[in-house]
Amino acid sequence: MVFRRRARIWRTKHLGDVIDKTPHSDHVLQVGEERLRLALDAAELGSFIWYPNEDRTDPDVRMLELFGVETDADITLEEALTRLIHPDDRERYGEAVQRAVDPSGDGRLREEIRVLWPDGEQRWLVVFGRTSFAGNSNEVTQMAGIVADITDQRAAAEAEARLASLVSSSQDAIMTVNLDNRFTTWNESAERLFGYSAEEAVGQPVDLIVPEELRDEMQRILNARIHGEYLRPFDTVRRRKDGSLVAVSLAVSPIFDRSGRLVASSAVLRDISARKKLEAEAAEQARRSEFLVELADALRPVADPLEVQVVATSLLGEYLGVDRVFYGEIIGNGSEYVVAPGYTSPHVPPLVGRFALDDVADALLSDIRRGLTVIIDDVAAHPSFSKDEKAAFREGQVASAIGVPLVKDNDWVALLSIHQRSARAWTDHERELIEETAERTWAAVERARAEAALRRSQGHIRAIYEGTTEYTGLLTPGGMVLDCNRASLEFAPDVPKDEIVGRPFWEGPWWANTPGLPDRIRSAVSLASSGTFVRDELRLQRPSGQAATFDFSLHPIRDETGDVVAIVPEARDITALERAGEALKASEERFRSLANASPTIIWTADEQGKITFRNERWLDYAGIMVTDPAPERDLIHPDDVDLARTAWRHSVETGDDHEIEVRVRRADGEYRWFLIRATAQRNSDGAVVQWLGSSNDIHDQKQVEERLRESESEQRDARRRAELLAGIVSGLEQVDGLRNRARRLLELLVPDLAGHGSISWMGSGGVVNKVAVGADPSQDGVSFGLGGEASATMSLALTDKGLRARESGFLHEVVQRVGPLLENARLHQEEKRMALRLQRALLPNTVLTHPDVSIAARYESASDVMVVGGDWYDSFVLPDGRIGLAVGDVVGHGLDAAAAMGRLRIALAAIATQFSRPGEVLGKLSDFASGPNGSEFATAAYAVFDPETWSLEYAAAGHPPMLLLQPGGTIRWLEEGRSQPLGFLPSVQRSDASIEIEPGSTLILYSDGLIERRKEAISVGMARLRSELRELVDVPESEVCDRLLDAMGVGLQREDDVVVMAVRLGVADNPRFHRRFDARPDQLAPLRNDLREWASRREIPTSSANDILIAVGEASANAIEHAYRDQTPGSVDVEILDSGDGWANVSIQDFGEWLPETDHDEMRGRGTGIMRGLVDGFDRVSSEEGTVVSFRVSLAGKEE
Amino acid sequence: MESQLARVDSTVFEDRVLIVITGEIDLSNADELRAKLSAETADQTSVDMDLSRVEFMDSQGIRLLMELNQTLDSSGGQLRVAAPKDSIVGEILQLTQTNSVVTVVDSFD
Repeated sequence: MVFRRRARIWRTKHLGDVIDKTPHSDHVLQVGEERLRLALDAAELGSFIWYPNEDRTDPDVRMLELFGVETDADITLEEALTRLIHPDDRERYGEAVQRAVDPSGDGRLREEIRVLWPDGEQRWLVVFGRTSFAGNSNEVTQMAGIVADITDQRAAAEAEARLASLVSSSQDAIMTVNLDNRFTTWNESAERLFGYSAEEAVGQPVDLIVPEELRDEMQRILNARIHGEYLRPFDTVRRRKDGSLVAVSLAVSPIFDRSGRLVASSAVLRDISARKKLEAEAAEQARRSEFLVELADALRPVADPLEVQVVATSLLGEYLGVDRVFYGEIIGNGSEYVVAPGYTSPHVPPLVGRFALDDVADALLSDIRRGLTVIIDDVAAHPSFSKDEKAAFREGQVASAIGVPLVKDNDWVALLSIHQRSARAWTDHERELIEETAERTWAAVERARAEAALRRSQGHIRAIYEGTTEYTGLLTPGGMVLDCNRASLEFAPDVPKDEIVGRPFWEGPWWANTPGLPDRIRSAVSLASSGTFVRDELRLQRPSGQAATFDFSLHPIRDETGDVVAIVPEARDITALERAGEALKASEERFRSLANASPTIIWTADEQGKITFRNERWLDYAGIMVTDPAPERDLIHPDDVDLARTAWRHSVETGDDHEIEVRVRRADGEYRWFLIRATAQRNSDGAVVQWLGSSNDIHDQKQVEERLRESESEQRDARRRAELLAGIVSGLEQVDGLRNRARRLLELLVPDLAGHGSISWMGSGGVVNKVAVGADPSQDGVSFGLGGEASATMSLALTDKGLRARESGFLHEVVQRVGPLLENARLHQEEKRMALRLQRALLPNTVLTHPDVSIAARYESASDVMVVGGDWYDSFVLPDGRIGLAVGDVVGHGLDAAAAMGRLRIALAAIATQFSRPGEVLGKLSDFASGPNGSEFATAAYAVFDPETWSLEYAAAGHPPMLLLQPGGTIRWLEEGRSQPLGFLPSVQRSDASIEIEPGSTLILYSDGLIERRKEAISVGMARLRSELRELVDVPESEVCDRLLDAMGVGLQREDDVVVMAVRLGVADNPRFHRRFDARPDQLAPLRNDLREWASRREIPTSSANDILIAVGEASANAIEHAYRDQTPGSVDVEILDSGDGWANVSIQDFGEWLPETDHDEMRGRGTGIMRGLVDGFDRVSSEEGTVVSFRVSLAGKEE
Repeated sequence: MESQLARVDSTVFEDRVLIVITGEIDLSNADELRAKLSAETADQTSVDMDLSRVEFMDSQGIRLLMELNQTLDSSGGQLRVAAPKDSIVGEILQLTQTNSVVTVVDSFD
């Protein structure tokens, strides 16, 4: 494309030379023909005359070119035409020609055809022809015609059609609304989303889809629109045709006309119901989890089974807002159930007592017996209840109910009931929560019961132990008597109990008659109060004077922290027994008989821990009765044996008590958990004489706790998964673009679930795109299809956690959720790409390259991807050698504006070749604009620079004035030559103006996007532009454009598109040479041409100019080859300053990243060697921003 | 698309081929020229390369000449290059000392 444009300029100049050589004395006709020739050529039109009678065609050179015929080709034109017209178009074209020469027709030919150039390229041409008839006869004499290349226009039209179809097929509902708040457009997605067809919706007020309750929000949107604000996407709700509501994300952009007046607004709505549902689920999940955690916390400290039920039912009742929650326990072989105290709201009477199960409706009972939860939304409407049953419910004020049976070992043991006095539609979430609560609470009840049973069995042991002696009581740790039993009081019947209680034990009546004994008792008490079990034989005098022998012991009682809180004294008269051994034996036997009555396993062991006795409960459990310790150890679960051994070893060595939980094998082989406690028994010296122990079956309690822990951890897992999933979805929605979303997804999964992950998809043109995250790509991955048109695939090298996530179905869930998100991103990207491609198709490919001017231009599209703007610029050489410069702006956005922009730009370039004065040109352009191919409303500014006379003629049609920055820093607005906007009051006389130009001045052309700000007068923006420009004297023109865009705050969120063009007039005298070009090899030749021009204007000696050419060429080639390897090519800046002291300072800068040098980079070295050989002070500096090569070249030339 | 930066004309004589390049040689057309040159010089032992009508040549051109010289050298042939000393091509041939490997003459006339 570059090439074609350059070729045109050269040819234009060449023709200009020819004309100049034509003697002016030639007759007018010839001049007229030349002028036509010139106009045709400038407009790139070919012409021909066809003589049908002679079957001869007389074409001009341009026509041959357009048909791709080489001028020296050895074929006739007719042959060429026949061969070159596309086979599919030949017949149609032939028929059109026949019609044109048919005397009954209008004699006109207008046909669009394709031609195939010899190099295979296909071009679209339009052929216009006008047939002449001889006199009034029907005989055709000739047909004159014109041929134009319309390939670019066709391409633009096709791009436009493609974009239009994209808008209509966009995933988002897109609609426009006029000032009367009625829909004016309505795309296919809107039809799908709301159920209204475009015919139904267009013309209707927006209330059509706004729910009543959101009229306030509507007002807010209208207010924002009145102030011209863009409403960023926000979540709201709209109503469908069928009356249902749909959650949407809504963005509203106002549409303004040229004068800043609001004309309409556009709305983009995206269906976010799936996301909303997910969020609601996560919130519900979290609320539920919180409740269950609260429930667990509340139940943990509660010991009483009944209280557990009360606490749990109250929490559940309040949480659900129901009227009754209670447990019923099944008793009497399933014939009755007992309602336990539960929760009752103030609105209904409580329900307590015992009920026959016959009273429960049969329909419910069969489900409940099978363990199924029964749900009754509305009793009155329930089909399975009899009239009587309904009446019974009514009496209990039950309109709606849920029943959850609790099953243990396949037996139905209890029922959690929930009553509501009004009908209620129970959700799945509520049902799940109630079931969960029922299970947990029941588990807690069972735990509390098991604990209570344990406490009772401990009480038994104490009773038995106390029963082994005759006298007993209770002392404080200090030895004060708190209580004593009847037997002990009988020792001294004359002493009342009051005189014993509250006094020290050693002052009691028992030892009062035995000298020295109170002191011995006192020291025994002090030993016991320090925690030692004391046992002794005492000889003492009864009050009757009779001597007696007592087996005496002091038993310290400790609390859970190990402190002694009481002492139990015990004494038994053993006088009747002749020997202590016999007494002991009798005591043992008595102990055994009592022990066997205990419901708990109890045992004794000698001081070495060897088992000496077990009661019969052990036999019941283990099925064997042995006293040797070995078999019991064998019965302990192998995993727990070490724990038991260690505990025993410690107790035997230190005399400390121990308490362990181990599994013990039952007679049937099942291992069950036991709590085994061993307590030391000591004599009065403190030595351990034996161990007393109990073994309690805590298996059920243990399992309940286990279940609780499991269900809590499952709950936590489920919550974490829901949160993680919601996090992934919202994390992805925060970024735009498929690549970014894919990367974000992988970053959320790596390294937690996968060590490495990649996502690949088919891009345009069959390119496979890939994003990878993670350390080790060599690991084997598991692949997941993500669906969508691009067949995206995710591959993950799963960690252990990732494998679990896959097993649990979590990864599958993730894949299902993110697939559509990635596909959406891809579609949006595609839409954006198409919109930008259309923009590029309609704007000029490059700015003019010309020795007398240096031009830079920037176009910035509006931020919203779907907004295609109508701003444009152009620069061209006129047939007389003057230079035309134009900017324009078509009001509005969207495809119409963009297409109109393209037409106006091409039309102005064509008209400019025909008319000299800018005012005239704009007048003709206005006529064009008001015609069928124009646009409704547009502005333009047009200037013509004449390098011969150093004058600038200019005019502006409704466009803000151009600015002229003069070399001294003076700034002038070009305020004259102004007229109405285009397509407005056609055929009015338009004025223009002229100004003299100082060489080196810079002309600034721009569109109003540069100076307009919301809520700000345009004059403020103009003043700011002027003051910013003051900083830009002597700045290269491309930098002028960039810095103006920056300084004027054309930031990230642009609501309008912007054009700015800076033109340095008379660059030749500029000591500074500056070019910025795309890093492509085909840019090197144009760069050299510009360099030669500049050097020759500055009269730099040939040898120095050659040095500059070679050195700059090598440095630029290096930058093109190396700076953007594997990246999107950026740009390269070449700047040369003739410093006036005989040297030129040169710098070549790129903005890429040079990869480390490889063996293949021999060329890089050779190029650098050449540069070093030619220049002075060669330097290359690389930083993150890019690489700068700088050097100096002598301008002295070589001494010949 | 075929670049129009340089044109290659060749005339085959009994004992050698004369190749005349007109235009410019840089990164944008070096690969294309390499293909053309290797087609024109296939089966040839001696090549006369007239670069006097080359207005610009950079290190890519040097590389072409070195490669061609190596090919001819290995088959016992010879490469001669014509370029005026004061031209860009002449200067770059001296700078890279290509003239010490390849025979360089002012012209073939």
